[in-house]
Amino acid sequence: MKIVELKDRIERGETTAVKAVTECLERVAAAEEGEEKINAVITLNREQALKQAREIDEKIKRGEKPGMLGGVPVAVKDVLCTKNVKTTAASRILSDFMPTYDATCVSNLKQEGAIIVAKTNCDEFAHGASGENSAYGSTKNPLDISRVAGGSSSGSGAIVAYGGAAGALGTDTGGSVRVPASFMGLTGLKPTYGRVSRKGLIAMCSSTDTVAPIANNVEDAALLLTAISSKDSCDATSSGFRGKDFSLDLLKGLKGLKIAYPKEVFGPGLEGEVKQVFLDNLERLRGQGAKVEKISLEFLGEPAVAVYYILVPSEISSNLARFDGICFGERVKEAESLKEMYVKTRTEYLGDEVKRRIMLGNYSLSAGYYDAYYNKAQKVRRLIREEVKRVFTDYDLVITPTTIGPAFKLGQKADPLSMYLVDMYLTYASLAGIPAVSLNGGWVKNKEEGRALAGLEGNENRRRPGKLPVGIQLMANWWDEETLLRGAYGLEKLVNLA
Amino acid sequence: MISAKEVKKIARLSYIKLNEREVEKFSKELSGIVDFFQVLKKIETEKVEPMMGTTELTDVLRQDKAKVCPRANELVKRAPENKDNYFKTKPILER
Repeated sequence: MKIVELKDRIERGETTAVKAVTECLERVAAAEEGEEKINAVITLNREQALKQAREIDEKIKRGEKPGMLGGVPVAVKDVLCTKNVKTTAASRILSDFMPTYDATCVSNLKQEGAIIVAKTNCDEFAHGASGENSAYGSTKNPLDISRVAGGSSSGSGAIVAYGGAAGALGTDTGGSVRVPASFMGLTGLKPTYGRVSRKGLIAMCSSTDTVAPIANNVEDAALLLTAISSKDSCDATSSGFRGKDFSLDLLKGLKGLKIAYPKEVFGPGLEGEVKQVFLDNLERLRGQGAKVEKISLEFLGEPAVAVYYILVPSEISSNLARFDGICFGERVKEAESLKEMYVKTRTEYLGDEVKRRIMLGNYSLSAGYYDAYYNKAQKVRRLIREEVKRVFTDYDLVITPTTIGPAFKLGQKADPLSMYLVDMYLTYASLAGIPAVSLNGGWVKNKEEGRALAGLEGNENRRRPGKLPVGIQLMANWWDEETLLRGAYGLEKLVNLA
Repeated sequence: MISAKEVKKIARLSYIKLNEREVEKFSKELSGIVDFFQVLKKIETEKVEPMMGTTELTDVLRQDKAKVCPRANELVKRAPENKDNYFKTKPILER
């Protein structure tokens, strides 16, 4: 059910917030306690959620407006702070961390009446593209439990895919909602950098971090973005404003849109069937009167991935210096000196990928390598920005596949570089700061099919036997989420009919 | 190529301790990643200014006024160790 329909039904008294939350909690129990154990959830917020739901129902009974998400159960990635609800960032170093405040995006959600049912699993500190780097175990893909959910917002995607929440907040620093969206047939919406406040987001890469919705469809994603956008004096980069409605242009149609596809996407790596899905979608857009043309984006693909994996670890090495055992989180007790305590605490409580990125960052920033790596990457980043400016003077949207293939098997990509290349088409928008969305583009053959979570049958836009979904990415100009979502909504309708 | 010696150096800078097996593993993995970075070498950037962020915002200013943080005591209380409303650590200065 669409979020907007659920909200209307609650408001009209056809169902209640308590019932909606209870149903979600039941689905979470079935998915997490059953033998499939999807592992989408780190902390279940049962008591608080039911209490909030009762309050919403009371409000409605009194005839008060419950907010644009009144009574809607949502999940929140565990890198976003929630007041007095454990927030771990999927790391052992924060295994008992209890924030004293809500992240701004979370308090915006609550103000609109949304109910937080769960804190979701993810790659540790959001470092990953598969959901396998969590200290609390990998998230499995509910469509095929032998496969990854995609990351880093793996649990936020999986819980929406199995109906444990009507929508979710993830974060997207270089593809972290777009990959799970692609691997589970969902919509992942990375807003323009600065659209949503990051106060209360445990920082990874400050120059590309965004808070980003994951939803069942484009309209829901637009609604969630409308609810969380705001300017915030506690995040100096936030420039969005509250109350902007991102669903206004959804129905404007595809006719007249000028859409570019970069020839670079046909480079090595793109799987044949995914390429076919992509080409099918170009035809769908043409069929509805959009102008679709081939262009070149010189830096899309490997150059943008290289820039990203220089800059992001560099910022991580600085942002994660705060995890030293002093102000919050875990601390190793057996240490003689302060320095020994720092080293032992970080060595004991941080995971391998986190250590890898911290070290890579310190390498790129260290004397002797700064110019060759960090400074070079910052220069190419400017070239990317200039390329983006040029393309959007001529076109409204850019379209690419989201990922080179569908969800891969758990444990398949053991080599870190092969994992980094999952972000092939995704880091580009992050480095430029432009908005991007991944929606389901179609289905490809599932070559070695594993079991699916029970209960997903019967909805062929959710799961098709023998098939796996793959995403299509759209990108738009800075601050032009309206056109982005208009294109995505129009294309989604055509994909669902196919 | 990032040698075992370099891995040990960057681990030390990162305040992370590695055993010999980990040094070998990270040396191999980080070398592969850094090799991949060479794809940037062929991009001409001599006259390009480095870009630190994407917003083109400059100087987001506010009044330089102190505000009371109502949660300060609570934050200290939730630290791994605290005493008399202070964070407690090992001595910073050696005796």
